[in-house]
Amino acid sequence: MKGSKVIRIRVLIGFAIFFSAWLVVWGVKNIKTASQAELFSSSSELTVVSKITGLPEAGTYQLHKIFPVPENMVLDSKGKLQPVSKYTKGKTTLLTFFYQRCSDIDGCPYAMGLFHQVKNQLEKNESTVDSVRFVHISFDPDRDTPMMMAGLEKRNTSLKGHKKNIEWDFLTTASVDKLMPLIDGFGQNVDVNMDPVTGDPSLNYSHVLKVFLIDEEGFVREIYSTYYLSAEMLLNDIETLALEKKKLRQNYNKKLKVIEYENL
Amino acid sequence: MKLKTSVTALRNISKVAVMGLTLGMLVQIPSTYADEASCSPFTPLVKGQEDFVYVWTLGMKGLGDESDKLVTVDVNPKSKKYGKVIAKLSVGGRGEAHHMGFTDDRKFMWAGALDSNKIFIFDVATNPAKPKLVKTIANFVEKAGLVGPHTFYAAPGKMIVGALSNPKDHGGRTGMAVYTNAGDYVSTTMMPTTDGADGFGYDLAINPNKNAMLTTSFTGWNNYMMDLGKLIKDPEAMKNFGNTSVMWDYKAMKPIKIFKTPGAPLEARWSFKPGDNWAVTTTALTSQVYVYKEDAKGEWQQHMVGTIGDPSKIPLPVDIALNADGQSMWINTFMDGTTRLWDMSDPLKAKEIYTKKIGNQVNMVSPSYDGKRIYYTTSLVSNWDMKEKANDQFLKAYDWDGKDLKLVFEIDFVKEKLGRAHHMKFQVRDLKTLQPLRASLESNNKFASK
Repeated sequence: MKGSKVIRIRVLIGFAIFFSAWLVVWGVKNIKTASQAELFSSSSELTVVSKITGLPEAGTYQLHKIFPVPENMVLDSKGKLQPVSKYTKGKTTLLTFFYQRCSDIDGCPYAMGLFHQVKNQLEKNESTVDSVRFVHISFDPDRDTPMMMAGLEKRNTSLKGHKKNIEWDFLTTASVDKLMPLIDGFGQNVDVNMDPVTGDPSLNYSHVLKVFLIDEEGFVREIYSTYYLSAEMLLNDIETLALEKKKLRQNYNKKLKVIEYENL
Repeated sequence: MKLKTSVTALRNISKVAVMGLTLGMLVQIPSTYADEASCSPFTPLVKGQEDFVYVWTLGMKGLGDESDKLVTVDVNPKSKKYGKVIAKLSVGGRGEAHHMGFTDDRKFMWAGALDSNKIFIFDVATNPAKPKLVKTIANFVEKAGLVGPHTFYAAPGKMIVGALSNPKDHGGRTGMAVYTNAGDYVSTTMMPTTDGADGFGYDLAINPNKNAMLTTSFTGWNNYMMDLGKLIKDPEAMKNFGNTSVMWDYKAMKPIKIFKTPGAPLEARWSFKPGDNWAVTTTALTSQVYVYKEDAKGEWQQHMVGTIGDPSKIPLPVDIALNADGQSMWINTFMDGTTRLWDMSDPLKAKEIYTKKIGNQVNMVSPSYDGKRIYYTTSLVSNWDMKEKANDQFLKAYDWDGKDLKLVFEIDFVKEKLGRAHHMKFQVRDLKTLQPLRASLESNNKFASK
């Protein structure tokens, strides 16, 4: 015990020496840093967020490519087999997994409500209506049949006074076996809840709500979950992708003009 | 005789100075969030009884297989194996195992090594009692352009990896990398160097309610892995410790404000009690507590709210754990092996209300979500832990009744030939019992579109 105490005291003395040295060096560094800052000119890296939404202005940030949408086949609302790429390329897509019997207020119903908020806003502008689509894919193919999907499409895409509606596709798959590669590819978690009494699979699924923002080339650009999801955020990110596309087109046109000029 | 005595004394003092510097460096490489309430808000939480504690453990030369390993301990009092090691998974080699973090679904654990720069991904869902190594990322430096994968913080479908250094000069300039949950690289964001920022990094923590992320600063590979004798002779190296913290726009991954936070601010924590929206950190070298809060105009401000222990005795604050209700916070001080409870009911008037000595050295502290069970471990960095008899390496579990900590069980990691006990994370047998912490961006229903 005495030996340990002696070691500890020696260690403290040693550290005191180090700390004193650090203080001196820190002081010198900060004096030097101040004068260096006056001489060093560099543009600020600081940004501002909206005081209303807490979000950055659309187009002022980058949404990186996260992963390509996995290839798979799905059933449309007419029961026809289609490649999932039909619903994830060519437009900016908001995609989520659901099941019709979901009653989790933080899950599927919450996403449905948000999608309607976003839909109502986008449909005010005819130029955005054609460039964005929504996709719901069921992870309960046994009960969410194409006929059920057709009913959902009809209920959720009524005109409501807007001249044109956002494309909103409700899709399912032929079986759980056909569904799982899609679930795994997106990293969507879903577990079947077991009945505690019988031990049989129940009709409820445990899942964390996820919404995927997909660009026109079929790349996932953002992933949202219940814990970070709002209509404003979705709209902001959709607009950010639109502005990115516009900028790319402008740059491309500039390059074309240069080539044309050089060929004169 | 007098000369001989003087020379001996000088040698002893030199040894002490070297040891002191070693310990000083230890302070720069502390542990980080190891408790339920400081998990990423995007991760489902264990709000009831935890079944297992995973301990990311550094290998020790001459002890067992000498390898870094993930140790699983049964911590459910109803279990027959309560308080026992039930699994250990060695990853081969000693790479300076340090910190780890769950993916957003809590099914995988990412664990990093500061020297080898490897990231190990464990499946902790298929059989939580027996984790399985499913992937090793061995090209972190090449892909991310960073060194020292330190913090693993879950975002939806992604993992943010906070680093400590860079491959160009191995100094403190560093950044954060984003990966998919599958382990594919996405992007790198460097720490700012303008507006007073030093470009250093350490910990990160996100508040989705405010679209805010707080980062802190430490030092680079040159310092945290440098031979001690060489370090103390290098005045340039001695300058290279973090003295700033940064508040970020999390969506844009751009800094909003830079704060001067002298003395190496380390752990970053947000209170997730609804309505709180404040963050806290402590500084290793100056033993201070800082709180970050928006002022009446909505601008983030930093407040120095307290001093830990007696700074003249250099307690060296290491890990901190904010309780789930935001009312209190545990702070460990390494040098005196003490855990300290702080009253944070008014974060701007924080005060220490309880202390208890845990061992010769203590680093990590992990409270359960309800705050009734507290776990402690010991190691900081393999080269800098205390020596000889002072080098405790353990996991200790306590019950907290609101007044006092009572030891329930302990595991001696040296006796069990495991290694240096470091970062801890809880897990349950049945992941369906996990409850998500719901956080959402505050909205007044005004759309961003025009």
